[in-house]
Amino acid sequence: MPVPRARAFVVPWILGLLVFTLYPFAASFGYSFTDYSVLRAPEYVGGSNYAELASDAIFQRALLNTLVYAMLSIPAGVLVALGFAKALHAPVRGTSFYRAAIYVPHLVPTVASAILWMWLLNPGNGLVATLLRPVLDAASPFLDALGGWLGQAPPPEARGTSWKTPSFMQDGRLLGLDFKERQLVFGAMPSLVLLSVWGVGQMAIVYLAKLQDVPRELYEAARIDGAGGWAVFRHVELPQLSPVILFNVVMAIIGAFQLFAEPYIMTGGQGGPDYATYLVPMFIYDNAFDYHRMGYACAASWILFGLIALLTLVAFRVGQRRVHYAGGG
Amino acid sequence: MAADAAEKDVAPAERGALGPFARLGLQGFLLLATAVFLLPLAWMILTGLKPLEQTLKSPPEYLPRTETATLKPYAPGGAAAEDASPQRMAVVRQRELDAPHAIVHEARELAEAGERGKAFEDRLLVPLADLRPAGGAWGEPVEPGPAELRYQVGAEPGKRLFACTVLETCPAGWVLVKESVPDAGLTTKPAGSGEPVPYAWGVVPPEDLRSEVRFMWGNVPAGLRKMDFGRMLFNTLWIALLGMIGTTFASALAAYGFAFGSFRGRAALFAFTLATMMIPFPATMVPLYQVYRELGWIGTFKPLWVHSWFGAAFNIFLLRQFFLGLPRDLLDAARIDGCSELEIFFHVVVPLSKPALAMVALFHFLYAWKDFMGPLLYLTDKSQFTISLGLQAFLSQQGGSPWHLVMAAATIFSLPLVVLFVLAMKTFIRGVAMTGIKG
Repeated sequence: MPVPRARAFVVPWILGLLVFTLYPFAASFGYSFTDYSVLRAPEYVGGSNYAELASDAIFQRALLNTLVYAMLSIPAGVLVALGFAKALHAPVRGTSFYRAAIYVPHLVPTVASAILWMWLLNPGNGLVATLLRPVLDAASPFLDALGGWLGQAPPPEARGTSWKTPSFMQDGRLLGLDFKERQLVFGAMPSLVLLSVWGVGQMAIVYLAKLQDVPRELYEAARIDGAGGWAVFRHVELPQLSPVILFNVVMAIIGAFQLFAEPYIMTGGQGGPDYATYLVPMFIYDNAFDYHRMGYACAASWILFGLIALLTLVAFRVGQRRVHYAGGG
Repeated sequence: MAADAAEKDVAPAERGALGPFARLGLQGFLLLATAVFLLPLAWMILTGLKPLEQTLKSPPEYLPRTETATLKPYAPGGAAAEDASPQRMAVVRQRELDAPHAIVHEARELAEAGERGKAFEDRLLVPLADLRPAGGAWGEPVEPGPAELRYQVGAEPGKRLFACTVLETCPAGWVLVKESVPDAGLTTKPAGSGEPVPYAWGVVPPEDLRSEVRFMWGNVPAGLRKMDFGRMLFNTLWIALLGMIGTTFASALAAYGFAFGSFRGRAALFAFTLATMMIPFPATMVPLYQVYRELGWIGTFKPLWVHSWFGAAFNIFLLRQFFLGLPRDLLDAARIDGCSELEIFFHVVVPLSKPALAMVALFHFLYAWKDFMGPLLYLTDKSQFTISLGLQAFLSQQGGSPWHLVMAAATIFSLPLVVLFVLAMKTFIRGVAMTGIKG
C-alpha cells in the first residue's frame, strides 16, 4: 500500500542530486563552450575547445591510454575473478580462508596500495624483479630466440649479452620484458593493470555468491545430460552468471574511465614516463587546476562522459544478445 | 538470496565429488593464488620492520635483518650514557679502524692567549697518535684518564690543542658502529664529529658484530610521528564518520520514499537516480569545485562530507531493494495504528534493516577512508590532510627514500580496514555479494 505522504522522503535526495550532480553536470556542458579560468568570467568561444581537443596530441595520448587501460584491466579482472570464483565454488577445504585472503587486498587504501606496488615493482631491488629473476635467467635461451624471431637479432658478437629492445616494448609500454637487460621492467601501464587485478577479490566474491545461487535442478539436469565439468561451466554456470558479469563490466568501464588516484600517486602527478600513464581524468585535473583552463577541461570531461555512455550502451547491447535473464536473475 | 548463499561453506553434492588428484590440484592452485595475493601485503609489513640500510640492499633480503653490537645506549649529554649498562642493539657499520684510536670526551680547548675556548659536547673518536698523556710526549702510550689532544676543528687548517679525558682505547681492526635508528638518513650527523648525535655509537671488536633477524618495531612510531599521523587520523575519522552517518540516514530516507511513497513519475525518477551513477566524477568536478568555492568551503572538510547528507544513488538502490523485501503487513499495521511515516521509518523499518544499514555505513566508511581525489581537490592546508593525502605527501617530500617508514605508515593505514573486515567478515561478504559492485 504505497502512500503519498512518503514522497516527501525523496525531497532531500532530489535537492542533493540537483546541487551536487545535475547542476555541475549541466554547467560543465555550458563551460565546455567557453574560455574560463578562476579569475576571469566565462567567455563564449563556440566549439573551439572541442576543435582544439581533436588536435591536442596529449589529449589523444590520454584517450588512447584510457582505452588501453580499460581494455587490459577489465578482461583481466573478469577472467581472474571468474577463475577464483570457480575454484572457490569447488568442494575443497578452507574456502572461507581463501575467500578472505583474496578479498583483503581490496581493503588496502588506494594510496597505500599504489605506493606498495611502486616498491614491489622497483626494478632494482623490488620483490617482483627479485622473484622473477631466476625464472628469466632460466628462460634466457628462449628469450634470446624470441628476440631473434621478432627480428631484433643483435650482431653475433653481442649475442647473449645485449639485445636490442623490440620497439613496441620500449619503456615496457605494453610488455614488461626488457630483452636488453634481461630483466622485468614493469612498464607503467602493465603496473596499473596489475594493481587493478590485485584488487579483484571483490568481483570474485560476487561471482562466487552468484555461483552458489545456481539452482540445483540445473546441475542435476546437466548431470543427467552427461555434461562434464567444462560443459557445466559453459552451459549452466556462465549463463547464470552473465547478468552479474554484465553489471560488473559496466561498472568497471565507468571505474576505468575515472581512474585517477593510482597513476597520480605512482607517477607523482606526472602520468609518466613520457605520458605512458597519462589518463583522461588526469588531463582534466591538470587543465582545470594547474593550467586554469576550466572550459577546456569541461570539454574533455564531456568527451569522457560520451565515451562512457557509448561503451555502456554497447555493453548492454551485447548483453541483450548474450545475457541470460531467466528465473528473475 | 545471495546473502544466505554466501555463508554456505559446505558445497552441495550437485557440484559433483572431485577425485583426489583434482582436489589436490585445486588446493595447490588456491594456495598458490592466495600466496600471490598476500605476498605484497607481507612485503609491506616486512619492509616496514626493516632498518633503513636493509631497504637499500639489492637483491633484497626477505626477513628484517640487522647487525647488532654491544653498545651503551644513547643518553643526551654523552657522558651520562657512560653510566648506563651496555645493551645489544641494532647498529650500522661505519668503518673499520685502520690505526689504534681512542674515544675521548670533555674536550676543551687549552685557551692560550686570545683563543676561543672551544669545547666539544659529545665524545670524539681520535687516532692514538694525536694523543699524549697530560704533559707527556706525542705517541707516548695513554691510559684512560686525562690526556691532551691535537685536533683539527672542521676544515680549519692546523691542529689545535685540547685537554680531554680518554674513555677507552681501541686497536686497529675494530669497527666504528652507530645505532640503527628509524629515521636515520633524515637526521644524519656523523658519529665522532663532536656534535651531539641522537643515537648511540661506539667502537666494537669485529667478533662482537653479529647479523641477526630483528624486527625494527621503532619504525612504526617514527614513521607515524614523521607524517603527523595522529592529526591525520583525526581528520580522516571526522570526515568518514560524518559522511557515514549522513549517507546512511539520508539514503535510507530516500530509499523509503522510493519504496513506499506513491507519486507520479516515481519509477522514472528512480531510474534516473540510477542513471546518474554513470556520470563520471571528472565531468562534474570543475563546476562542483566552483560551487564549493562560492560557498567558501575550499580548505574545509565540508566538500568531503556535506553531500553525503543528501544520500547516494547506489545506497538508495541497495536500501530500496532491502526495504521492498520487508513484510508489508508490519508497515500497514503501523499505519492503521496511526503512526506517521516518519515514525514507521524510525520504529519499524530502521530496526528491521540493521544489516543493510550497517552494510551501507561500512562501505561508506571504507570509501571515505580510502578516498584520495576528494581531499586532494579540496584540502589545502597540511593540518587538514587525511591519511591518504598525508602518506602521498610524505612519500613525495622525502624523495621516496625512507621506504621502511613509508611502509610502516602504510601498514598502519591499512590495518583498521583489515581488522574491521576480520571482525565483521559476515557483513562484508554478505554486503559484497549483495552489491555486486562498489569500489
